[in-house]
Amino acid sequence: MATDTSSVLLPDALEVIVQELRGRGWRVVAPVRRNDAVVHDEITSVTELPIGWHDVQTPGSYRLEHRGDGAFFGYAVGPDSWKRELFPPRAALLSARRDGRASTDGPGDTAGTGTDDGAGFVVTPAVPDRRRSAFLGVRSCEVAAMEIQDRVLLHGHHVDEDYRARRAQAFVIAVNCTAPASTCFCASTGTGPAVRAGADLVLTEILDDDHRFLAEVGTTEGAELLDLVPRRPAEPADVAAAARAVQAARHRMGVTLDTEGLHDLLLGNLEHPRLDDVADRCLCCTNCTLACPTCFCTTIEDATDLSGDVAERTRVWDSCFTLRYSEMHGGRTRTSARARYRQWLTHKLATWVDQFGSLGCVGCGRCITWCPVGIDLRAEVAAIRADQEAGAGREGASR
Amino acid sequence: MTNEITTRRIVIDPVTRIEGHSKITITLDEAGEVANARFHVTQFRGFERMVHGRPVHEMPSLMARICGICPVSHLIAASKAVDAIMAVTPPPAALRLRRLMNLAQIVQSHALSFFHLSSPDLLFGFDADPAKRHLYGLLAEHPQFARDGIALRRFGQHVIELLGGKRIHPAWIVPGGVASPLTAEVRDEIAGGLPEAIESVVRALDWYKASLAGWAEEEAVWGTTPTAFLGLVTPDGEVEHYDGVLRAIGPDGTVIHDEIAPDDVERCVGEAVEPWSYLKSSYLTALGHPEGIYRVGPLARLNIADRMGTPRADEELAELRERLGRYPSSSFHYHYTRLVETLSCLERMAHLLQHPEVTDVRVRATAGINRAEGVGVAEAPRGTLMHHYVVDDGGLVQHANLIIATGQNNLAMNAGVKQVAQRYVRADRLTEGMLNRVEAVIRCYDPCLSCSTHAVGEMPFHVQLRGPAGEVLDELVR
Amino acid sequence: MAGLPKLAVWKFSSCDGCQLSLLHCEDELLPLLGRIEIAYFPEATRTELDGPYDVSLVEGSVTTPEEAERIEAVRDRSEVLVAIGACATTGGIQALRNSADVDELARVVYAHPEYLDTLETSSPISAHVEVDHEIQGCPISRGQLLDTLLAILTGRRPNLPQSSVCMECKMLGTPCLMVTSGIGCLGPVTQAGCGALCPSYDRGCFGCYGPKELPNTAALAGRWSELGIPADAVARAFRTFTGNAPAFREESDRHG
Repeated sequence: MATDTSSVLLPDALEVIVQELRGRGWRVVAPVRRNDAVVHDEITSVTELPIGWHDVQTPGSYRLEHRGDGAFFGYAVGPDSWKRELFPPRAALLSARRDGRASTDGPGDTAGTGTDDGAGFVVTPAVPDRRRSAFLGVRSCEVAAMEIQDRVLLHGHHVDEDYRARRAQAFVIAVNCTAPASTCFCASTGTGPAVRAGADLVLTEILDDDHRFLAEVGTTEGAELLDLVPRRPAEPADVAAAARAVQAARHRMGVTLDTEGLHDLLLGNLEHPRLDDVADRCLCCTNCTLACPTCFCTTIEDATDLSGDVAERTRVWDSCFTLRYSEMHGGRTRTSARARYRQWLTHKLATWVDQFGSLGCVGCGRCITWCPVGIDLRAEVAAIRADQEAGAGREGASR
Repeated sequence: MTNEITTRRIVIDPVTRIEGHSKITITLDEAGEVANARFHVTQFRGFERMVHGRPVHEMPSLMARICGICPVSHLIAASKAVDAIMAVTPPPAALRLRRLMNLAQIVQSHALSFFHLSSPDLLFGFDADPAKRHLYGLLAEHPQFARDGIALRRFGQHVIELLGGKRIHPAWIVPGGVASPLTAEVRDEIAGGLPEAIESVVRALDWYKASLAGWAEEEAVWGTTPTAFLGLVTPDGEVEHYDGVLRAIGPDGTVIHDEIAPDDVERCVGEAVEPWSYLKSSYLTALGHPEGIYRVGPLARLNIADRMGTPRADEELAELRERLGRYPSSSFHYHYTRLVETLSCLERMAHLLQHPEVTDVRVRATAGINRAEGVGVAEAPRGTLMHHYVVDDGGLVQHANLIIATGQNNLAMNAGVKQVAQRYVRADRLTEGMLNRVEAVIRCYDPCLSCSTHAVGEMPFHVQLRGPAGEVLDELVR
Repeated sequence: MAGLPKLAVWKFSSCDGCQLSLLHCEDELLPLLGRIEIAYFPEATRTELDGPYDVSLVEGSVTTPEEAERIEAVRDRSEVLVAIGACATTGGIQALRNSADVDELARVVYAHPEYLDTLETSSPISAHVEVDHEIQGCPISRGQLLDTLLAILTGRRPNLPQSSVCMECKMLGTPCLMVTSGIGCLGPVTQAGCGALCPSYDRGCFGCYGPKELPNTAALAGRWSELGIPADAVARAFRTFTGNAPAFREESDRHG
């Protein structure tokens, strides 16, 4: 982002931002420490941030530790993604009520003939919450995930109205990541650690002699907010310090994911024995998909009230790891763990590109950390790739 | 095997509107008079043995599965026994919260017993059409009364749910305390519901007192056999449900035991297993068997105590004693005492919630295995409940013994069934009202057969009988 | 419609908690009664209609010869039979005795075991008769019970999840305890329905709701071992409230 609009904020200025936004009646949602993890929740003050905490993440393991400093954003991403805010676990879609009238010439929102006596029903779409929300501390991978979900939920044939409303109400204060975990690989997927676009404001936390934040403006609304906050113009030393912190983060990430030829590699190995191996380990518990910031599988739940006169339709998170998700007339198509893992892996890393023009993965590593048995998609892909290359090598040698 | 007599048998199977399933066998002699009447249960679960080898800290959640009606009572008795094995005292806030959940449990269970299960007889009469003599009939004909019952039960259940997350088998009471503290919001929500709950039970009490004169006959024949009474009291003589000391009195109030530490319950209570009985039958060791017949539950708790310890319930207790005497004996008065106790429990809940300590966040003590043995005693809705565990060095259960209210009331229940059967059952006519009265006497005790069957099972009643075809049956085997 | 659909509730060996869930639907009772006739519910009434019944809810497991006969009779007079609770769907906690010697068990618990008439095992309803719907859980969720009844009345499919407790934790926002604390949790192999209650109190799932579909118990047990949980504890964990469900029983047996 442009450095000529950069300025430097001291930690107290963040409190001013929070109070300003709350004063407007907005929710401010930010990382907080709860249940031994950094999760997202509404805050009333920056003092509720997990100040001075750091996360140690490995496949299937997450521990919080003291950093020994006063960093506001000294941790990587936790179990919650912003999907919880923008695409919540349950969202009301509509309700329908019998109106006891024939529906033939009714108003536009009356549809169907529910019963033999010709009674119709009235459908009322759910009204999304209109309250504005500011998301504080959004990482680059998560901004990228929002853009991916935008492509799926807003820019396709069908627009998800609930998502559109929530997205329009969101104000994004991003943070360039300076504290990646070993499970992070956004540098591999090209989605971090620096935020390129898609945020209203971007902060970089600088923790050298004096604790400060480099603030860059992404939108007019972001600039207007910054105008209300005590700050000074950024000097080249500030910009350089911020760049160093982000660059260091890039090098601290763990195992990479080699994306070269990934699409063809995976689709060319649909019967690879490694998939049998991973099926032995996979619990089909759905944790990876629900923790994933881009996964958008849902199911529709219809519930009827006791009188039988009112029905409600709710969109509920689902997962390609459940049996019912592949259910269609005539049966279920993915009954084995192997089929479900293959569907997930190839969709994320291959067919997503065909469908939406990008990977479905932003390298946040949540599916690795939050897998109870620690399955690491980087390792699965690497194993298939190694086998392929060894095979190619053997072929080459035999030729 | 020599004393063969000819019998006919009437079986009520299952006994309805009690919690759990059972059957009653009434045996008639040649003259068609009731020779005997028994009450037995028909399922086999076997908890005392199933828990062998399990870690003792699992006992609260395992034992809660004994019963879906009073799981909280088992959670509390089990947790207290494990507290003793860990040699810890839960933090003060945890003790208050455990008490709070226990009281909520008594309220909901008493509401179920009185309104849902027993009141249809009281409102419609014992001879009314069974097709309407149930809760749903009440909803149609006595909506305010039914709604009071539903509201009261819902309130108790809602408190359990607010505290423990679910109504049945909540996992919230744990060894060393409780799983999570009470927030100010939940405290206020519970406190906010209390006035309405109190009004519901007061309305029921007023109606009950006004109707009492109409049940003189039931009062006179429903289990009036004199028995002793046992339960917990505070050291200064108030009704107590969670802690305190054991007191046993005779039918006239003579003190048999007093200030017995709950740990010593097995010293004053013996358990007889008689060939004719499916339940273990408890008796007071000081009096021996079967003279040591005694009752537990609301009637016993009110009789042994000097006072309730809460203002409105104490007024009601004074009035009850004015009406019925100081030591009412008829088991029909379980109903009345149950209502007074419900009022007292609600008042106590209000009192507990007012204490500033109730929202303290320190609610759990932790420790390893520090004793090989532990006893936990509390008052369940139906009466005194005891869990006793012995563990090995690794904390695995080696022995478990439970004393359950229904087993303690067993001798008295059988006496009551016999008395009612003798009064109402005639060989030449068997009416719905007759059967219903026999069942109703059992309902007074609100027996919990799920609880009692932790330790008993279906034992075929070895009565051999003469059917219509004339085969001779041997009464002696029974 | 000629009369309301008739509902019967039947009890076998159990603690009554599941059928009381119906009584716990206090606010729902009245409108529900407008749509269904409770024809047999010994807990609440002694009205007994002969059947046939449109819907039978069956609580409890089969533990005695009498129960084995009775469940056949219940099936014969029921259009739709719904097994409710861990006892009815898996044999329940009393199936812990299945691995014990029943005679020995009886001697410990009873003074006169010769009067005891019990089967060797505690078995689920589906081991005896065809079951149309199973509502798992110890105890069942009120919501699932009501939804199933309404679904049957409406002619739609009940919303009974077969997926894991993990889904409920994730939807609630409860961080995974196995990942954050390394404690054993049966959630990844246990069916949803309880609302992931125990993890929200920092306790691993006990498996009250029984196995989910495709439960990879071996992989989970392997992870527990890596977390330092001894084999006997693994065996016990799978052998609790729903320990007689085949997936759990077999995994338990593998660990002693």
